[in-house]
Amino acid sequence: MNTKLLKTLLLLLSLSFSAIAQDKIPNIQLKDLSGNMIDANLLENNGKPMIISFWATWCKPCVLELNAINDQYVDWQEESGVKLIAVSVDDSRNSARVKPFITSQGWDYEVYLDENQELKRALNVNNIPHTFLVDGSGEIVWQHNGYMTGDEDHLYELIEKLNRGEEISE
Amino acid sequence: MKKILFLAFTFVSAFSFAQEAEKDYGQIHGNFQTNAQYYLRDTIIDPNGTAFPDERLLAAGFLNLTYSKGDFMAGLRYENYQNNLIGLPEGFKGEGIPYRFIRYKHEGLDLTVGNYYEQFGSGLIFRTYEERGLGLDNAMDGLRLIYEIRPGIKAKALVGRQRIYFETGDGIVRGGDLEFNLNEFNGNSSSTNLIVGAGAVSRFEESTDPIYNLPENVAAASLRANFISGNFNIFGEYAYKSQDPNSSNRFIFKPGHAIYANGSYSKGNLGIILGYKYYDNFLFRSERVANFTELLINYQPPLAELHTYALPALYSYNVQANGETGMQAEIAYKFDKGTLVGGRYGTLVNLNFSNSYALDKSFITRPGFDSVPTISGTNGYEDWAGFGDIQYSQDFNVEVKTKINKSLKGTFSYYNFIYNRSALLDGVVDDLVSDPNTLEIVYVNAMVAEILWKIKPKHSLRSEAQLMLTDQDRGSWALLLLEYSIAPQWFFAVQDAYNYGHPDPDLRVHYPLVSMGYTRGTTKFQFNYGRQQEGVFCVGGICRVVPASNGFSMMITTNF
Repeated sequence: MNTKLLKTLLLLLSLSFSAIAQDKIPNIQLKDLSGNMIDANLLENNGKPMIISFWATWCKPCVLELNAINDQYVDWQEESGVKLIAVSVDDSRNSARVKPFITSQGWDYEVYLDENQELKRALNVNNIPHTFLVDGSGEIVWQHNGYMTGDEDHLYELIEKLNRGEEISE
Repeated sequence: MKKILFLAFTFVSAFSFAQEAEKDYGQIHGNFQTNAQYYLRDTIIDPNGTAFPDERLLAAGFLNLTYSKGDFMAGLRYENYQNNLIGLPEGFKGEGIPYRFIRYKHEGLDLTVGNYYEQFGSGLIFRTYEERGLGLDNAMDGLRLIYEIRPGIKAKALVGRQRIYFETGDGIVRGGDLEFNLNEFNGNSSSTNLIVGAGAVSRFEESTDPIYNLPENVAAASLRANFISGNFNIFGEYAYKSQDPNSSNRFIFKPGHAIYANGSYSKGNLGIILGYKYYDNFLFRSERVANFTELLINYQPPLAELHTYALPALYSYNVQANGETGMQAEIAYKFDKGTLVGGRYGTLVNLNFSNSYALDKSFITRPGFDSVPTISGTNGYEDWAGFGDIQYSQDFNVEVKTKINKSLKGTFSYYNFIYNRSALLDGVVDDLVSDPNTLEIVYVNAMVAEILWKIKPKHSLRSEAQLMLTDQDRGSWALLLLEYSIAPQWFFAVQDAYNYGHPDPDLRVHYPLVSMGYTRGTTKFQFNYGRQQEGVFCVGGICRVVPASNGFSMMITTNF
């Protein structure tokens, strides 16, 4: 049995899957907290990794996650240059609360509103919290649904991996 | 053997070649979710068997596929209900592809053919959206054009009919919206901005009513402005709707009015928000006769906090179809670390107050067929935009969030509710109430303590202790939840809700529930087993009543 051939096959198979996993942020408009519209596909972080986190003011695990990251955010930024973009899917019931909410939480994130869940839908997000990791070239390299305490440590391991130029294969 | 391997090799290489050239072929992504529940007969919580389906096993799910390539995007959703889970609309039955679209976006042009979701302003005159958890999906099926005339001026135009289960409604919906954004117009991104918008929507539905001369075309229009300056944000929208006699307003001919406004201030550790709502006869559907969440054209923001802890959520607020008014005020402040309240790590305190009242109406009646006076066929009532005699709800709550030490975090909250059960749950409408004292009002005091203990890296224990005290309705409750998670893959939880204060001693029962979840990449599995109490499940301003049930349920969700 030709094991070399089998290995080649497996390698090719994994390569083709990693190619499928690559994707860009779609061209959908978000609103910033000053009411300006921005194109989501133009979000960037000067070639450094970027976290995109879908959340809402009423979503407890989302707030838990963003608070847990916020505790370490200064260190994360300094060490890895990462930036977190928090996309709120609060509808008009709560969208006016977003700015006072993040101010009082003391979050230092870039925050946008996705009031009718257009970007959420375009990225096929079922439930929040949902987190995407985007590499320096704007490719989505990883995503995760839900939040458990400790998930942020795993996320940071992946960011460090990206900065070392390693592939993320999960 | 070699031949097979060779074939496989060719296939895989072709496949990977296709992927390498993916820029030419576009990308396909999607998500998938399925929920299934096996029901057990429970004669204590459900003596009549209303929540015990004949099928015994029910399952519902969907698959979304989105294809994108450059300026093109196309997608579809396959949905499957065999049959829909108890508590969700039964109209969703069987399977099909009720959602499909093609969208082309190029520079300032954005054209959609097929199904789409859209919102004008705060949604007072137009909002189509989906909330899968509620079984709400009022997607449009038709055409939509969004065009940026020049930076800062955006126009939207649309036409179509709305989805109702696996069909589309009879009413034709047409609409247009124009928005002006000062910063974008001037090409700067200053922290002071003015956004003004105007929209109009109209619905056509044929009328063959033998009694009333019902308008076939009903129009609604709105004006809105949002002024943002540094720490201040002020938003206001006023909307008007022409005569729209329908089954939800009991066929009155009064035009509708709506105001939704809020202002906020945020600086440093402080956030303040004030809001006001006034909805007079403003429920708008694309068919006159429809129920629940069917064929809603607009959205009336409830302006009340959405509670998510299980016990306080039993008394959630939902917007009243025949009009309401109310306000909301909220203050959030983070006490710095090192201060008396702030302690070692800082403490966040949030105070929220909101209320809702029926409108101050003086009814106009005429004799009905059985000579009982009715508002149907008249202008309904005179209205003075004040707060009426009937209170629908009041919600005051305080939340304190703090870090106790390196591995412990706590959230402590207190709730005080006044909840008009007759109106909010039993659907008693205000024109049938001659004496507001006959309404069943529930007074609730509730407390929740949530503690998160980070035991060691990746291992944590979350606990919730909830207590809800009331002498009315189903009486007092206590709840305890323990959730152990091992990030990033596993969680195990046990919960017991105990309705110890139920007026009927036979119903002072425990509702135990065990659940576990497993996450692998973007795929998540969750299993629950136990009793679920009857409750109100809300998303946005819309709620549904979920009956008490007992059984085994499963959820699988994934995206790719």
